[in-house]
Amino acid sequence: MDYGLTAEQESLRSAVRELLVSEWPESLMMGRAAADDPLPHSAWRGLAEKGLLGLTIPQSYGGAGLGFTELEVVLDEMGRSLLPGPFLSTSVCALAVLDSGTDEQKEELLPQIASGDLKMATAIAEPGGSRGIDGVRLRAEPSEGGYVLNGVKTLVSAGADRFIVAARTSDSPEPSDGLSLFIVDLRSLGVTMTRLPILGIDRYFEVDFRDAEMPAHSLLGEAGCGGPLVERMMAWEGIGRCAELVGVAQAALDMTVDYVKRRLAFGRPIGSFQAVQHHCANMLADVESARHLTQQAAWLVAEGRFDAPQVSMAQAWTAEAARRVTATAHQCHGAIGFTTELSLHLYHKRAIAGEVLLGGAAYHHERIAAAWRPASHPSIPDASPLSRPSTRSG
Amino acid sequence: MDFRFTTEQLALRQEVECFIRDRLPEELRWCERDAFTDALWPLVKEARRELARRRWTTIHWPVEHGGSGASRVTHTLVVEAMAYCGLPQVIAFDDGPNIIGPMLMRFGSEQQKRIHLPAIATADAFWCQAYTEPSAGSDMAAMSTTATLDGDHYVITGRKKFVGGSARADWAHVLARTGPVEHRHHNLGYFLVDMRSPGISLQPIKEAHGRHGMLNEVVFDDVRVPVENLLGGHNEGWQVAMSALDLERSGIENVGRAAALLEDVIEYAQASERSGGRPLLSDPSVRQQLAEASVRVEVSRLVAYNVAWRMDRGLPITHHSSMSKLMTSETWQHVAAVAMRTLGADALLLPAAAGAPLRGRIADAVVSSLSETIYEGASEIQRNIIAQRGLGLPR
Repeated sequence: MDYGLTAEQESLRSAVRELLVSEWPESLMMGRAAADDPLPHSAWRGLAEKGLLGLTIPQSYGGAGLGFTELEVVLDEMGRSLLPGPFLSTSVCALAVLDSGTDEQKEELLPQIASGDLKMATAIAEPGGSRGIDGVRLRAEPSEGGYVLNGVKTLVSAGADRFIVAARTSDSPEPSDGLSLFIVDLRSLGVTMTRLPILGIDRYFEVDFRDAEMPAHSLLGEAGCGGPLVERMMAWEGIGRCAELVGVAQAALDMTVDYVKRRLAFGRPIGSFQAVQHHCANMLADVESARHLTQQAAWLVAEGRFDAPQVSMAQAWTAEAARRVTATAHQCHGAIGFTTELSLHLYHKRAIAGEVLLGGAAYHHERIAAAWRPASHPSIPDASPLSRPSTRSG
Repeated sequence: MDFRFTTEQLALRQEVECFIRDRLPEELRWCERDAFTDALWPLVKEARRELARRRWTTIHWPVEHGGSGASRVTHTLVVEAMAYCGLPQVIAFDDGPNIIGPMLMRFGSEQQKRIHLPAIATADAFWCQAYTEPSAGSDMAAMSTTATLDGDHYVITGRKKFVGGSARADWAHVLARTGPVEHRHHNLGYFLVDMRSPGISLQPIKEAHGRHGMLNEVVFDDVRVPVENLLGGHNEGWQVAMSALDLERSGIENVGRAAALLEDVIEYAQASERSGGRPLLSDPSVRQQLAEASVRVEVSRLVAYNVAWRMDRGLPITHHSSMSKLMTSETWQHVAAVAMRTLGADALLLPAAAGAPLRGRIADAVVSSLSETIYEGASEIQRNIIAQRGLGLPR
């Protein structure tokens, strides 16, 4: 058991920190928070130059060849700086292409992603649809030489040049059957993008597909067999988002501790009052516990154990923990935190959005419960395969 | 980043669990309430010796003192396994191997180590902790029990309240004032007191959940303690006592018992049908509550093992054990409350009721778990420590 980062991971963390402090300082973030495209091009180039865009891409495709645990470390720092833009979604798409792409797809896409020339986004969620595979209704009908797509995707990260779209190619009583994934260029005929006015610093589009024709080679993986890949993509994106939220919560805590040490009331720093101290203690407990769970989940995902209940546990806990932390940060800051003089409100909005983008705790609780096997064999040994051999026998 | 236990650790956990289930008397499992009764104490004592013989309770001690030199993570795993199997605190996580032993190794004289460590390692000696007083709980330094030097003895006089296990204890570790109250944190001494000393008397305290014989008020009336039983210096008692805060107090026992109760409740909810003929576990709100509780158990487990891992790595423990104690105790309370809500009124039945679900464990868990956020540093004190030591907020 090892909770620590390796020396390489530590230096990766500081490198990201350094880059973001110079390319995406708080002043720039606050100045561009309302812009259509908050992240300057130069910052994206900076990510590419540091090798972050090809972090999990093998060296043979121009990447750094690192794993998902390293990506987790990077995303924690990015959350701390509230970096907007399609970094997470591009990373998830790179993992998906690497996982299921043909050699041609890998050779075409991965080097471009690593060099910063190609941004990508996942397009799984649909308006009014439930989270995950169940909510995929966009149709892809086979046609001459390819498929025709009809339907709507939402919450697609802005700034991407291509999407990975989840579509239904056949009907089946089992929602995970009959799914196919397509790599779609946003300039394709029949694809219309609509900017979504939305809370916070992150930008999203709704994407409408009307008789959009896709060539057969745009298929990612086998037709009709995309369910498991969608599950993996959601795990990568979910745990990646958790990592960002841990960084968000860490930043909100750091700001708060700094503030309550300086702010005087009744002749004393307010941080000397127990009412405030206990808020801060609760925030630290949330930050550290969410980081432990997220790192454990990242490690599981890196080991290919996407189905482990701890992957859902991390999302259930972090979704609420990060929002609790930023809300408490507001309470400790008082009125000044509620103004745009401070960046705190942007962190809080990211945490609010993060909670629902993760699907909410209830969604993940149900996934945890669904994994409990019927009686005769109790459930937690199953839910905690890491910490317990199943020796229980009634 | 690697959250795997080694094969050896997993095998050890299995061995411990199998031993408890197959070789220890069934009455010892989930017997927290009655562990100190005349009926059970002989069994408890024998089980303590059995586990000590296997070097499990002192597995983290150096070999020279009767341990196995295992890591803290391994030790935490063993404690979790014992609590998970329902062994009471006095067996699973006793003061001797976990508090007084390590303190003796750190502050004790050669003579003290020679006398006490072997008896703790074999579980022949049972220790109780006497810090709290009627008017000094969370504010421990407000204590007024005095230890006055008189030749080659200290004379201890005062009252210590809520002394767990004192009626069965062979020795007590006692914090008492060696000088004027003005210097709250100085003028305290740490004493090893033979419980058979003349002048010690006990007044039983009845607990809300009906536990028998566990707590007493211990009255010290001119109790003479040889000077060689002072641990640390004449005025170093506070530092010695505070070192216990840095020892492994992760509250992993609460994780073990919470996990076990939760599993049993889930199993019960799978097997029991409601009036509609559907299992209780098909109720979405029941599923939500139980799944949420399982997340808290996992959170607490990770926070607790982090304390052990940090100790193994030699990393500083500032707020970590306080945070772990805080979260594990609150989780145990939460799981007990969820268990009761899930089973409903049936969960009010006590162990004596025929056919009580889970043998009447839940009602006891709900009431007894209340004390977990009070003793050994109330949650409010833990939050103060987290804020001040972990975040550097001003006192």
